[in-house]
Amino acid sequence: MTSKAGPSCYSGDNSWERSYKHVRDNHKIHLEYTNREFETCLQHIEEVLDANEGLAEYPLYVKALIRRRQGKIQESLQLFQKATALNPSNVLNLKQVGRSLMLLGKYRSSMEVLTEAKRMNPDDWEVWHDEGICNAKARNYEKAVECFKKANAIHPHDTTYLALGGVFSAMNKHKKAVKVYLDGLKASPGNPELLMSCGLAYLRSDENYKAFEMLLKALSIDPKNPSTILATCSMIQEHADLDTALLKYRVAAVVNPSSSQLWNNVGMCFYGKQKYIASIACLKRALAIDPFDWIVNYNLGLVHLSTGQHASAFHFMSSSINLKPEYPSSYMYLAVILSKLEDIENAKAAYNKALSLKSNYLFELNYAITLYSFDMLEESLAHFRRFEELFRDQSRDAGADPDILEQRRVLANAHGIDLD
Amino acid sequence: MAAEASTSGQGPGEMNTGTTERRASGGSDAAKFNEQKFWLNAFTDRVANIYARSDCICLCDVFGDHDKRLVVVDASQKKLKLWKGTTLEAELKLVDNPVALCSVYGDNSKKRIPALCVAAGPHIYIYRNLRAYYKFTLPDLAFSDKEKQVWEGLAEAKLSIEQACDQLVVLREEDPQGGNLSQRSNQLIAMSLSAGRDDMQSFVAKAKGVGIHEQTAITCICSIPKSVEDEGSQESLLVGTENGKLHVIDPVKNFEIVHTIDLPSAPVQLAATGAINVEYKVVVLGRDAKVYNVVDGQLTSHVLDLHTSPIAIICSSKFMAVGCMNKTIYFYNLAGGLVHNIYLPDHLTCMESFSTEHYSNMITVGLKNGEIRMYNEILLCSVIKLKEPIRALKFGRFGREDNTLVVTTSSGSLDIKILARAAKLKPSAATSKLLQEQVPEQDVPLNIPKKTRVYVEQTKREREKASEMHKGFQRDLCKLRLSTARAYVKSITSGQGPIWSSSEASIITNASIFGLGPDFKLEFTLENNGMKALHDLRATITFKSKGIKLERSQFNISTLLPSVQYSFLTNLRCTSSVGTEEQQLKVLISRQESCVPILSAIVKLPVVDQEEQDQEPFQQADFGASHHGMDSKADMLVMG
Repeated sequence: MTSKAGPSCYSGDNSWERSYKHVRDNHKIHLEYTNREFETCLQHIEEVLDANEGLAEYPLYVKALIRRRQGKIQESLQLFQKATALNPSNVLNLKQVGRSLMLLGKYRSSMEVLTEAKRMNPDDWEVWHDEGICNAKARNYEKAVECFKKANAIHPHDTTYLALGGVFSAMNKHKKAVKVYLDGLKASPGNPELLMSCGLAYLRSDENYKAFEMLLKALSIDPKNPSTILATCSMIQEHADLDTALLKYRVAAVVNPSSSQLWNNVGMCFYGKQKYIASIACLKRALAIDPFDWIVNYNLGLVHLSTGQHASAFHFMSSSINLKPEYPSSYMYLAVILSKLEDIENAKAAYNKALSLKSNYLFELNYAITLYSFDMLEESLAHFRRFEELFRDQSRDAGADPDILEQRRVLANAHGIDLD
Repeated sequence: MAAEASTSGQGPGEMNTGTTERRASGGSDAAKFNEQKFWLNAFTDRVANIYARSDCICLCDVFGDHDKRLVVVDASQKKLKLWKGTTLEAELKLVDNPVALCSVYGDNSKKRIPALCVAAGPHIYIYRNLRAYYKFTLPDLAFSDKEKQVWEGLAEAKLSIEQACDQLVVLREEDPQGGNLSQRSNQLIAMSLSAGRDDMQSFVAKAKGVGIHEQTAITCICSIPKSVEDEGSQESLLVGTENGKLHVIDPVKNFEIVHTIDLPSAPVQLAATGAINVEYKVVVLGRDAKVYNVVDGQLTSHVLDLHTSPIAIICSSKFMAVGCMNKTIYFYNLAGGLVHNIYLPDHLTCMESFSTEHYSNMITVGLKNGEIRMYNEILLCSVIKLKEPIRALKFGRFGREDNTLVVTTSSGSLDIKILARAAKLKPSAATSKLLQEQVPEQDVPLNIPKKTRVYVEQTKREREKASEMHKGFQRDLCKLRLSTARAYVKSITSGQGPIWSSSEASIITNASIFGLGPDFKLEFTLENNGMKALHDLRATITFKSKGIKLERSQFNISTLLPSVQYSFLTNLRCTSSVGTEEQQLKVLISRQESCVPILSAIVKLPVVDQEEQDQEPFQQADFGASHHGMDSKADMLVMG
C-alpha cells in the first residue's frame, strides 16, 4: 500500500463521534425516490431512522412523500411535521405540510401554513401555486386566479397554466381558458396535457375545427391518453369516420377498460355501422359501469328502437327521462316507441311534453305521422302544417335530411296537399 | 332472423381484420426502420450482479495501456469491479458504501495513468493502478462557539436541559438558513418536544466530554480539465456535499480544497464544461428541484425552477437537457430559456449524452419500461426494448471500440452494445413521428361481450310481441302498485306500521336495539307530528321467546306534545338461545280507551354468543321474576 501523505489509509477510522451517519444515505435515498424504487427506498429509510432514533430530517421527508403517494395522507402529514420539528426553517417541509393539508381537504389550515412559508420565502412560485389550488378547491375562483397569476409571474410553469385554465373552465369562461392554455403552450410547446385541455376548452367554446387540431396534436405526442382519445374520437365519430374512431378506441380500451363513456362511444360506433348486437353489448357494458348515466340509457333506447325491441326501448328511454327530465328529444323518441307499442294516449302526452320543451320540426313531423297512422287525420294535418312552417323556416339554408324529405312527401300525398 | 343476428355477431371481427391490415401497412415502415440495427449486441451477462447507477460506472484507462476498462462500484456489495472486454478482470473490496465514481488525470508524469476516485461518506478513496493510493477526507463542519458553550455548560451541569434547549432554539432561530446547528443539538431540541426526561438525560450523558465533531457526506463528484480539454490532460475534481457545498479539489497539491462554493441545496448531479484555469461552468442539479449554475467559481443568480425532481442532466455546447420525474425532458438553451420538451411514454431512469464522428448531440434515455430511446436533440432515432427497467447507461470508448453503450438493468444484468459503424442515424421528423406514434395497443381488438343464443331468441320474440309484452308489463306494474298501496293502507289503519295519523294528530315511532348481548338496551322513540297534544297512551313490548327477560315491558305515556321526540329505554337480557322466529320484539302503542294498537315497531335481536351467557348465570334472576306478570298482560293486550 503506497501511502503518499495524510492520515493512514483505510485503517478503519470508525470513531462515530465524527458523526455523519444521519446524512450518509441521503443521496442514495434521494436517487431511489426519484427513480421510483419506492419499496427499496422505504426499507432504506427505516434502516437510517433506526440508526438515528427516528431523527433524521431528509429520510423523514422522503418517507412522507412516499406515504403520500401511497395515499396515506394523514401519516405523511405527521411525518412532515416531525421533519419540520427537526428543522423549522426549511421551507420545503412547510410547503409539503401545506400540500398534505390541502389533500386532506383542510384548505383553511393549509393556507395558514402556506402564508407562513410565504413569510420565509416570498418569491416562491410553488407557494403561490399551492395557495391558488387551495382557493380553487374552496371555490374562491377570483382569488385563485390572482394567486396563479402571481405564481406565473415569478416562474411560469405548465402546471400553473393547467390549473389556471381549469379555474377559468370551472367559471365557464372558456375563451379565457383557451387564452391561458395558448400562453402555456408558448412557454412549453407540445405539452400533451396543455394541448388536450386547450382542445377541450376550444370544444366548449364551439370552435370545433381548432379543437380538433389541438387534440390531434396532443394525440401525436401522447397517443395513449384515454381522455384525449375519447375527445378526439368523439369528434371523428361525428364526422362518420367510424373505423378510425374504433381503431383509436382500442388503445383507450387497453389503458382504461372501465370507462363508461368509452364503451358508450364504441357502442354508438357500432350503431353507426348498423351492427346492433355489438352495439347493445357495448352499451350494456357502459351501463353496468355507470348505471346512472342518462346518455347511455338514451342510446340503448335508440338502438332497441332500431332493432324493433320496442318494449326494452321503452324501459331505457323512460329511465333516461327519469335521470334527465329536461332533454326534449328523449320525449320524442319515447312517443315514437309508445306509438309502436300502440299506446296512442301516452304517445300524444309524450309528444306534447317534447314540444312544450322545444319546438322542433322533427317532433311535429313525427307527431303528424303517428297521428295519421292512428287515423286521427285532423290533428295530424294540423301538426303537419306546423311542421311545414318550421321546416320552411329552418331548412332553407341547410340541406335537409333526405329521409325527412321523403317522409314529408309521403305524408303530404296522404293528406292530399300539394307541396309546391 | 338468426342469419341476421349471426352476421352482426361477426361484425366486429370483420372490422378488425380490415383495420389490422391497414395498421400493418402503416406500421411496417416504422418496423423496417427499427430493424436497421443501430446497436450490435456485444456482450450480455444476465447474472453480472451489478447494482449501480450511472454515477457509479465509469469507462477508464485504469492501467494506462490504452485499453479502456469498465469500472463499476457497487454499494450493495461494497465492491469495485473491473471488466476487461468481456471478462471480469478484478474485484476489490471497499471499506464503505460507495456513492460515486470518477477518474481523474492527476499528475504530469509521462505515463498517463488516471486515478480512480471512489466517494463514500465524507471520504474519497483514490486508487492508482488499482491500488489504494490516498484517502481524502472532508474537513469537519464548523459550529458556532455559542453552541459549543451550551454543550460545555450541559457537561459541567451549569445548565439544565430545559435551559440548554431554549438557548439552542434561540441559536437556531438566529440563523436564517437554520442548517447551522449540529445534528446533536437538533436531536436534543426534537427530543425536548416528544421524548421523556430520562431519555434526554441519558442522551446528554452520552455526549458528555465528547466535542462536537460532525462531518458531512459527499453526494456527487465529477472531473473537470485544468486548462486544456484533451483526453489525458490534467484534471481537477469537483465534489458536491450534503450540506450544500461544492469543492474544487486539486489532485496534484495533495488533494487540497482550492475553492469552495456555497449552494442553496444539496447537489444531486454535477455537469461541468470548460476548464478550471480558463473559464468553466458547472451546472448543479439540486435536491430541491432547482438547477443552479456556477460560472468561474461563482454561483450565478440564474436558477431554473423545475416542478418535479430532476433525475439527470446533460450539458453540451448547444443546450442543456434536464430529465425529470414527470416523464419529461426539458431542453434549455445556453441563456436558460426553455426551448422544447420531450414527453416520454414511461418514467425516466437515466440519461446519457454522446457524440460520434458523424453525429453530435445525441441523447440516450433509459426508461422504467425497459426501453432505451435515442434522440438527436428532440428527434427520436431509435428505440430498443429490454425486458426489465433500465438502471444505468454509460457511453464511451470500451476496449478498442469507440462507441460503446454500457447498460445495466434493475435485476443487475449487464449489456454492452456497440453502435454499428454502418448505421445511418438520419434523424428526420418523419421517422421520429413514425416511431413516436407506434402504439402496440392499437392492435389489440376490442373485447366485445358475446351475446348468447337465448338472448337472440328473446329479442326475436320481443320483436314479434312487443306490444303485448309492454301491455302485460304495464298491467302487472299497476297491480303491483295497487297491492302495495293496499298493504300500506292496511298497515297504517290496523296499527301494524310505524306511522299513525288521525284528524287531530299523527305519531311516528322507531325502535332500535343496542349492545352485543346477552344484555341489550331497547330504545324506542315517539314523535307527534300533528298539531295537538295526545294524552293517555300506552306502550307495550311483546315477544314470543321465553328466553328474553325485560326490565320493563309497559310504559304509560300521559302526554305527547307536538314536535317533541320522546325516547323510552329499557334493559333486556337474552338468557337462552332464541330461534330466528323468536328474535322479534314488538313495540305496540295503544290508546287508553281501546285495546287495538294504533301503531307498532318491530326490532330484531342479534344472535347472542351462547358461551358468554353461561359464564354469568347468576344475573338471570335480576329482573326475571318481576315482569312475568306484565308479560302476560302485554300478550293480553295484543290479543284484545
